[in-house]
Amino acid sequence: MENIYLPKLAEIKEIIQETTDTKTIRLTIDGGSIDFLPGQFGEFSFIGEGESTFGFSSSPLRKEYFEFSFRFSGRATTGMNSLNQGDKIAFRGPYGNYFDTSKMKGKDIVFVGGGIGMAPVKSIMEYCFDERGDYGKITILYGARSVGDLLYKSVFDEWKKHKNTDVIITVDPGGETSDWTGKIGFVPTILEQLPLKGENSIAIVCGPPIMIKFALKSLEEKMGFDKNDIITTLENRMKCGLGKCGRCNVGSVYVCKDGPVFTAKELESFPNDF
Amino acid sequence: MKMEEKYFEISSENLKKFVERIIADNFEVIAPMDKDGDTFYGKISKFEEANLDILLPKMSYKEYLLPKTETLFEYSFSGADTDIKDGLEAAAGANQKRVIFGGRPCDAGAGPIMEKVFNWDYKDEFFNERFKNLTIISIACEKPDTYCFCTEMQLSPESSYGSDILLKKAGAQYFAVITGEKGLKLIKPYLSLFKETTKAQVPADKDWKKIFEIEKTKSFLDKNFEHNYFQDRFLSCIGCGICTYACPTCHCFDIQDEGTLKEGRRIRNWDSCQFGIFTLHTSGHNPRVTQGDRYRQRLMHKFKIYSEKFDKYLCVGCGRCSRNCPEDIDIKEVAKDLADMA
Repeated sequence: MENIYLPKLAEIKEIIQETTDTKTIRLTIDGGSIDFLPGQFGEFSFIGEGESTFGFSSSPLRKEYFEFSFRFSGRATTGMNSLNQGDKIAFRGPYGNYFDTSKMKGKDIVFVGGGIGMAPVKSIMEYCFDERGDYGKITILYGARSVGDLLYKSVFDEWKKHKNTDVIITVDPGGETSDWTGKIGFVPTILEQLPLKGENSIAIVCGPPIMIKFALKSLEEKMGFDKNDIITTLENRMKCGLGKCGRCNVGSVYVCKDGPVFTAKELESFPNDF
Repeated sequence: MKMEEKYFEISSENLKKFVERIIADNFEVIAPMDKDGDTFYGKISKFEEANLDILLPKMSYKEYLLPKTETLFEYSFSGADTDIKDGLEAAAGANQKRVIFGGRPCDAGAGPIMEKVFNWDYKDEFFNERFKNLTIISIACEKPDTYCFCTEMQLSPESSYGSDILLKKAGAQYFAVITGEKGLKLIKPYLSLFKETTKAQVPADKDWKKIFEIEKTKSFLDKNFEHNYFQDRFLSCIGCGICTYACPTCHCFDIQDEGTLKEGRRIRNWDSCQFGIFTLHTSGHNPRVTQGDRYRQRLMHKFKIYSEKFDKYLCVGCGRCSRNCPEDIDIKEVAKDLADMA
């Protein structure tokens, strides 16, 4: 008889201070990563303060660790913010569905991420880099409110080194610094300026709901992407992650079990409840 | 294979003896009990403490399947080490001799309905252990009130669905319908108090009438997520959440940690879709902003989502949400309104 709510203890291997209020934590269990697929998520907890839901932000092919990124905001994440290398974080998962990489092989891929919504995009993106030969041209568009709000700055150069790969970083107007060399503009605006076509392409999009809404519109209407070729991941508030606690459903879908990964076509059939 | 139903007669006097004897044999008997002018389920120590005349206690006996608060695990810290003690061991095997006595067919229907969500993939053994160990003796209703709508919810005041034993009153005696092994096991040591009979002797169910068709309510919900009805009708809802707490089938829960710097426990508590914080994102975004959005979700979950996922409506028509509502929002009237608009 198994207690499905019982976490395992994972050890903190590395902590990356991403911005003033976000961190990425790399974890190990039994000295390595765990089996998961890009797009899946887990329940991470600072025991004594509580559990929070985060998508994995690392490639599952990198076997030395698994990582997640978080903003310190509530009790559990404030607790996690106080931890050091070698400390423990309780973990259960992986849960949910995942990006179907078999549908992506041989195609051009565009990754669109906004703010901390870049975390699950980073997982599938780095998975594609790890198997770079399987995919065509890769375009990465990542934006945040301001330069100070950009996560993953330490790996931007690593992304840019890959062949046949464009990396475009943008900040919202007013969020630039005097030495900023990237783009200035909202993600959907910059997206429309890119020379992208829907043929033989897959788009993966994650960010704030308003960004997703307009990015999907641009991809469909301006670039001719098929609704089945635009894939997003919903980050609803969750507690159990197991399809029991009842808070993540949108229409008849439990985001934690039937999702979190959905195509734009599926999204279109959902009521306006997310 | 499922056991065929068995039928017995039992006099009122022998029913009292039966209850007194199972109490003497260390069964924990939970029955409707009067308390300060209200009636709640509680542990009785003698037959007279049970109020068998009340139609429905204020709250259901959901807490015996899904406690208001339940320990998922206990933790303690010593130096850098964290020790985790599984809470399931305490839940498993506990309450093996627990009997619900004198509940109604609506409440009995809740267990097998909720069992589906707790087992559709991951198995929630906390729920399963409690459900497995509970023996339910219900009494058929003779006079449902105006808030009741179990017949519309595919049950009836005389339904045996979910009961291990259903008692039907007939003059000074009862007929006992034994629906399965669990019920038979409970009465076996006390069979001298019962007299076996045949189905033909048990009074036939009355022809209970429906005032609306729940399928029509669903078909309205299928097509009208954005309908003004929801925002208008539930403007008066104060978001207290009593509808979900009093409901025998509402099972949404929260998970929280409580304790000191040295030790504590992770618990799950009843939660409510009627609270704004239920779906509030860290970013401040909330998919359900108004009370209309939230009550609509309750209707959707009960009459559409659950039935699509699990082939059962998540409602037994007990009417507690309406009786307890400080704004007298009557879910039976609401479901009928929706059916009428379909």
